[in-house]
Amino acid sequence: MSSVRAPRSILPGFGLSLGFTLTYLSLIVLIPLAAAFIKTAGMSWADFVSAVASPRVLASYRLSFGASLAAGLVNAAFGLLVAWVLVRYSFPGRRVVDALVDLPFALPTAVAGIALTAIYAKNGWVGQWLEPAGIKVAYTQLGVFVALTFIGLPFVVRTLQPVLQELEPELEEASACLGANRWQTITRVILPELLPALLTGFALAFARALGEYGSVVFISGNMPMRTEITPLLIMTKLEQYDYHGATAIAVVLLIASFSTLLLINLLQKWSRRFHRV
Amino acid sequence: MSIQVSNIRKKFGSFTALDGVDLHVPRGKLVALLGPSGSGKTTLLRIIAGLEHADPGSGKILFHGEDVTDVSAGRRKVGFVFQHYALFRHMTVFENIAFGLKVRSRRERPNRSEIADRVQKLIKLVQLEGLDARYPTQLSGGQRQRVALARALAVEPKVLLLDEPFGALDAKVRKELRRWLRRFHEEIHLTTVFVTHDQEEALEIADEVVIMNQAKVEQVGTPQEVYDRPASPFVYQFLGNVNMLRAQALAHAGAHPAPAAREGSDGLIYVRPHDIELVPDSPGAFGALAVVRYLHMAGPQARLTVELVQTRETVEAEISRPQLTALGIGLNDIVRVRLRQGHSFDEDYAI
Repeated sequence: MSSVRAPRSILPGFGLSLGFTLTYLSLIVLIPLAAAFIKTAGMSWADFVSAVASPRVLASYRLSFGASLAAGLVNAAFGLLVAWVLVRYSFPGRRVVDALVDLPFALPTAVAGIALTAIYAKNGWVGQWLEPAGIKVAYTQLGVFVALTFIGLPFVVRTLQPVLQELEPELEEASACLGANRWQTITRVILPELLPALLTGFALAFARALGEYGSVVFISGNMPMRTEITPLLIMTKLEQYDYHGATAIAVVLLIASFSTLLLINLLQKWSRRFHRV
Repeated sequence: MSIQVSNIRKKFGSFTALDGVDLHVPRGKLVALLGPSGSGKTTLLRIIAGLEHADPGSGKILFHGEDVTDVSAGRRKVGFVFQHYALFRHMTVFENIAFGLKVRSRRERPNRSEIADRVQKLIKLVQLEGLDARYPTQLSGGQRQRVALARALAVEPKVLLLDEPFGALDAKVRKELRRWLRRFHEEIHLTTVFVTHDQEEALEIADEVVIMNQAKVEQVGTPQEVYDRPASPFVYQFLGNVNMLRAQALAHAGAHPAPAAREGSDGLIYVRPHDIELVPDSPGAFGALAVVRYLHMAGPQARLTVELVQTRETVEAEISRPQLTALGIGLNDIVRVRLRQGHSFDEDYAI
């Protein structure tokens, strides 16, 4: 019997590392997610529809997706600004600011939620000034958006920073020599170069916001139909021993986030069309 | 348009990049700024372009007699080509070249078809026909540099500035492209300054070579002038290989006419390897005695390293290969060294 052997690679261990990767991904990601699908598959279609499409659930989708999208967009804009300042300018305390950016990563989200609630409540530091202006943050949908923005910021900043650092200053100089003004240089030269990284950062911030639970439950007030996010709804169903209902909503959330991420990936591919082919 | 640079100084922290530099670039000439890295040549080019500003209180930059010292890069009407091309990756070749035209204000901007016409003409000029829809990553280094050149020319600059334009290319492409640049210059006669650290490149294509060292201009002249009559030991060494030999010892051996001994002179004689004459040692032969230590035969010329018996100095010599065969010189042979010509920086002494 002749055996066909793959050409020897200079880097050994392909089989081993791939096997490990697959096992690992299965245990950590695939099997738990598959369980949600299997559990849901046990439901009748009518039960499924009533579980995932009741008005209360639909309202939570709207809030979760809407607020995550808005938070992602705001983070894309301000994260770009923060990354730009951190990379382009050196100022006293830059390292401190740089470290601050990571805080939302490290802070327990419940702490963030409680802190934000305290600040934005009507007697809080910020809330007391907003209240007279008629702006309510704590216990409203705006509060949800604020919490999601807070936890998403580091994703955009950290994806953009290395790309900004790599950006050749010659590009801007070339643009200036060709007669472009600063605004034209930013919109026509710098932003297109940053777009792929910006999309990645946005996708990460968005995905993170969609799954966020800990910080939101404190600031949102969790009023059904108004400030109830989808992850909270899943939690509520679990507490009521409605395992089927919970997994059904989880499946919808999963599919929705997966398709959104897929869409963003396609966008990214388009924005990278000029990269090496 | 001529360029006049007068008394320009520039410091980066404690490092002096330019120390009171004066330069005149005549209209329509191709001028090379040549020097080792850190000599200030790129800084000077960037100051001419307006990408860098000279230190306050230093001199002026004039374009055709007009003071542009405080004019921004975008308004100086210069075309600048960067060493690493600095092409916009997200734009096609066409869009890159059209960029300078498209960013003009509505009043000055040519219309769509005029832009297309002009870009196509430039693409033809730099011989990139058919590649207008490619992205820079799909081009070779030489092609990218030509796109960069076309992009710089699109805005119809009065002056073209190139910063080590061929530095990132491999040797063969570099030679082709620099000859092409020379021919190109002869067609359009745009005042051009290019920076290089490659003396061969500067001597081959420039009308005039400006040799810089340690923030100062050492010498300005045509390639032949600077090669044949270097103004300083630095220039001599920088423009090709050179032997530095103790003149007195060689004169005693009859290798060249004796120099008059002089107080305070370095007593060195500068000789190019091709000005060294070698003959086999025989009774009656004159010249300094030496032993052949290395023989390097790959290439058009044979390169020999010989060691002078008296002073133990090593001498590099270049002779043609047929001549070497005729002389019958081999490794470890005893030879006599003579100098056809040499140069000394002691006042009024040269042979």
